[in-house]
Amino acid sequence: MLPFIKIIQGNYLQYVRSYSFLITVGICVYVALSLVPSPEANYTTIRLGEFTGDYNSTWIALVMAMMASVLLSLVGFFLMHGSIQKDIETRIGHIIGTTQISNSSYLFSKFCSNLLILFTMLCIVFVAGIALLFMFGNQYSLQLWEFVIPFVLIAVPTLVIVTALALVLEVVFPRKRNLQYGIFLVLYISSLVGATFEKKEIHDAFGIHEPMTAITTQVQQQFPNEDTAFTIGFISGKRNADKVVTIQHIAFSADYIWNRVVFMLIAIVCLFLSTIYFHRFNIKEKIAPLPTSAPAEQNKSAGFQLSNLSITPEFSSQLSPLVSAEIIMLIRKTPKWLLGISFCLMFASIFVPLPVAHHYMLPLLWFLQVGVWSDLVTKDTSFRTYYFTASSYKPLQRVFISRILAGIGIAIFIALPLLVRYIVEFDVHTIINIMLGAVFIILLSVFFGTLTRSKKLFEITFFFLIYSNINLVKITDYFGALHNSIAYTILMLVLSTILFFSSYSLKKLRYES
Amino acid sequence: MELAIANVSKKYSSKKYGLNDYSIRVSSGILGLLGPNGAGKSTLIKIISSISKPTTGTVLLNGNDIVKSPNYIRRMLGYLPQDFGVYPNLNAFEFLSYIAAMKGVGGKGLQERIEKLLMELNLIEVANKQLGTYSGGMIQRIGIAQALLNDPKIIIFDEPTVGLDPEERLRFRDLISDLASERIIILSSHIVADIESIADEVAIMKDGVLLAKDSQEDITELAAGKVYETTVNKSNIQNFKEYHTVVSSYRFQDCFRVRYISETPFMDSEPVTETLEDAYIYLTRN
Repeated sequence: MLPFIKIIQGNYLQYVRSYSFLITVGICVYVALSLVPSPEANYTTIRLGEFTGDYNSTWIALVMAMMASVLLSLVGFFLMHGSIQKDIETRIGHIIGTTQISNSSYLFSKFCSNLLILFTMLCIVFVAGIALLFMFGNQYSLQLWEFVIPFVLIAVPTLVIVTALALVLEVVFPRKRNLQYGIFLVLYISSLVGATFEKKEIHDAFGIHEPMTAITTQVQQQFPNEDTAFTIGFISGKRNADKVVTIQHIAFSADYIWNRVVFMLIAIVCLFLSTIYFHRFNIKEKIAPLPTSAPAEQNKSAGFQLSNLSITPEFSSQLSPLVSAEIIMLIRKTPKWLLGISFCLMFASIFVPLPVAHHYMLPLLWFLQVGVWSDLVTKDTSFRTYYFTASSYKPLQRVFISRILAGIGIAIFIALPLLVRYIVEFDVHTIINIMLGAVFIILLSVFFGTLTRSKKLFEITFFFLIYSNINLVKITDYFGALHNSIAYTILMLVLSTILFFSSYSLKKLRYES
Repeated sequence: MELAIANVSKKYSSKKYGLNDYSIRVSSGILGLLGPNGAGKSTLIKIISSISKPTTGTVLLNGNDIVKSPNYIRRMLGYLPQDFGVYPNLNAFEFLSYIAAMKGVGGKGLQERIEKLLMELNLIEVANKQLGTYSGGMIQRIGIAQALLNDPKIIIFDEPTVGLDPEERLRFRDLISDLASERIIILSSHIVADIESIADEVAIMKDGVLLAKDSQEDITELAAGKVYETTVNKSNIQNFKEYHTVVSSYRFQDCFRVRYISETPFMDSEPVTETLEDAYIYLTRN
C-alpha cells in the first residue's frame, strides 16, 4: 500500500509544484469568486426566469457546487488529460514499463493523484464560497453542513467521472488527442443537454437536475404565475433586486445519492476495464529502415568527408521559408481524418445559410484546430528544439513572427469559403471582423502559450469559447458573428495588439534572461 | 577568429554559481572542454551560443560583444546541443531547410548542401522519411548536419558522439579535425578519449571555475611522476580506494590491478606514463 501512496504523492507533488499549477490556482480563485456575482454585477450565473437567490449558505453552496460540476469538469478534463502522454514524452514510461507495477496500480495511482489535484481546486472554490457568504450575505450565518453537502454530492462525483474518463480515453486511444477531445466534447455537451432538458436522472452526469428542480419548485411555490425557467452559465443582465428569493434547505433524495454513486462506480469500472487495453508504453512506432548501401554514383565518399561540402549557402533573412515550413508542420500535425472533416465543413459552409456558416460552422472549424494551434509557441518545449530556436538568427523577429503568421494564414484559409461569400455581398466590415477574429484567436494561443509554457490554458479557454459561441453568447463573440459595429472592430484590434505586444515582450524577456 | 571570455559569472541564486569569474581565450582550432557533472560546461556553452546571458562579464568574438549583439555570433554558429529533439512530422530535407531558414541561410546552393550533408552523414536514403521514424543514431547525425548547414565559423559540439556507432565515432573525429582550420571548435565531452585524440587545447573545469587550459601535452605533464600502478588484495581494495585517488582498476587473478595518483607511492608500486585522463582526475579530484 505504501508504494502506491508514494506514487500518488509523487504525481501530485510533481504537478502542484509546477509553474502552470500556480497560474491555474490564480485563475481558479478568480473564476470561483465570479461564480456568485455581487449584487452590482452585470451578469448572473444561475437564474430562474428573472429570479435569483439571496446570499445564504444554501444558495451560494448550490450555485458554486453546480457551477463547479459543469465548469470544473471541463477544466479538469483538459488539465488531467495527457498525464500518460507526459510519461511517454519524458520517457519515464519506459522505466515504469519495466517495473513490477501492474497496469491497474499504475492507472489507479494516476487516477487518485489527478483526482487529488482537482479536489485541491474544488477546495479553493469551497473556501471562496465561504468568503463570498461573508462578503455578500452577512445577514446570514454560515451553515457548514449546507455548504458541504452540495459539494460532496454534486461536484465530487462529477470530478471522479471526468478524471476516470480522461484516463480511459488516453488508454483506449493513445496518441489520438483530437479524437479524445472529440469524444469528450460529444459526451460533455450531451450530458449538459441531458441534465437541462431530459427528465431522466440517468442522463445527468453532472448531478444538477435534482437540485435544479428543487430550486425551481421552491420559487414556483412562492411565485406560481411567474416564469421560472432555469438557466445556468454566465448570463448577461443585472440581478433584479425585486426578484430575489431566499432558498431554503434542499434535501437530496436517496435515488439521487444512489444515482451519483452508480455514476462513480461506472467510471471506476470503465477505468479498471481499460487496464486490459493499456499499452504499458509499448507503443508501435514506425521505424525508418536503415540505409542500405548507397547507389554506385553516390557512394564515392566514405562518409563524413567535408571536402565534398564545397557549396557554401548564401545568407538570407527571408521569412517566407520559415512561414512555409511552419504551415507544413501545422498541416502535418493535423490527423488526416480531421483534415477530411475540416474540408467537408469548409465545403458545406459555401452552401448553408450565411448566418449558420458564420455563427456555428466557422467557430467549429477553428476549434477543430485546437490541438494544432495550442502548440504554436510551445512546440520547442514538447519537441526539445528550444536550443535550435534560441541560437538561431534573430529568433524573436523571425521564428516567433513566422509562427504567428503561419497560424493566422491557416485560420484565414479555413475561413476562406465564408470570406468569399461576404466578398460577393460586398460586406467589407464583416470580412475585417472575421480576419480580426482569426488574428485574435491565434494571438490568444500565442499569449497563453508564452505565459504558461503549456498548451492547456489555451485549450481550456478555446473550449469555453466554442461552447459559448455556439450558444450565441454575445460577449464571447470574437469573429464578428453577433457584432457589426466600428467600436467592436476597434476593440478587437486593440485586444489583438495588446496580446501581440504582451507575448512579444514576454518572449523577449525570456530570451534575454 | 578569436573568442575572448572575460570574468564571466552566471549566478543562479544567492549562493549558487554556474560560472564564477571565468576567463578564457580561444583561437582557431579545437578546444576540448572537460569537467565532471555540474562543472559549468553547459552553462558556458549556453552563454557562448547566445542562449543564456551571463550575470557579469564580457564575451567577445573577434572584438564584438555577443552578449549585447547575439546575432553576430548566431550568423556564424553551428551548435549541436547535448539533449535535443526534432519535429517528428518533417522529413530530413524539410527539417534541415527549416533550420537553415532559422539560421538565415538560403539561396541556390542550400538544397545542394543539404543533399551533400545527408549523403556524407549516410542519411540520404531515408531523407524522405519523417524524422519521427528515425533511430537515436540517425537523429544524432541529423543534429550534426544541422550544425554544419551554414558553413559555421564557430562550432560547438556538446557530447556529439552519443548514439554513434564505433565506426561513425571514428569518422566523426576525422570530420572535426577536417573542420578545424580557420574555425573555432569547442568540443565538450565526458569521454576523455574523444578529446584526447583530436583537441589542440584542453580546458578542465570544476565548480564553475577554470582549473587549467593548455595544450594536451602540457596538461598531461601536470600529472607527471604522480601516476602509479600496483596490485591490491581483494580484501583491501575498498580501503585502498578510500585513501588514494584511483584512476582505474581491473581484476587480475585474485587481486586488483590499480592505477592511481599519488605524490608518494604505495609500496610495491610501479611508475607509469601519465595520460590526459590521469591529469584530468588529478586536477578535478585534488
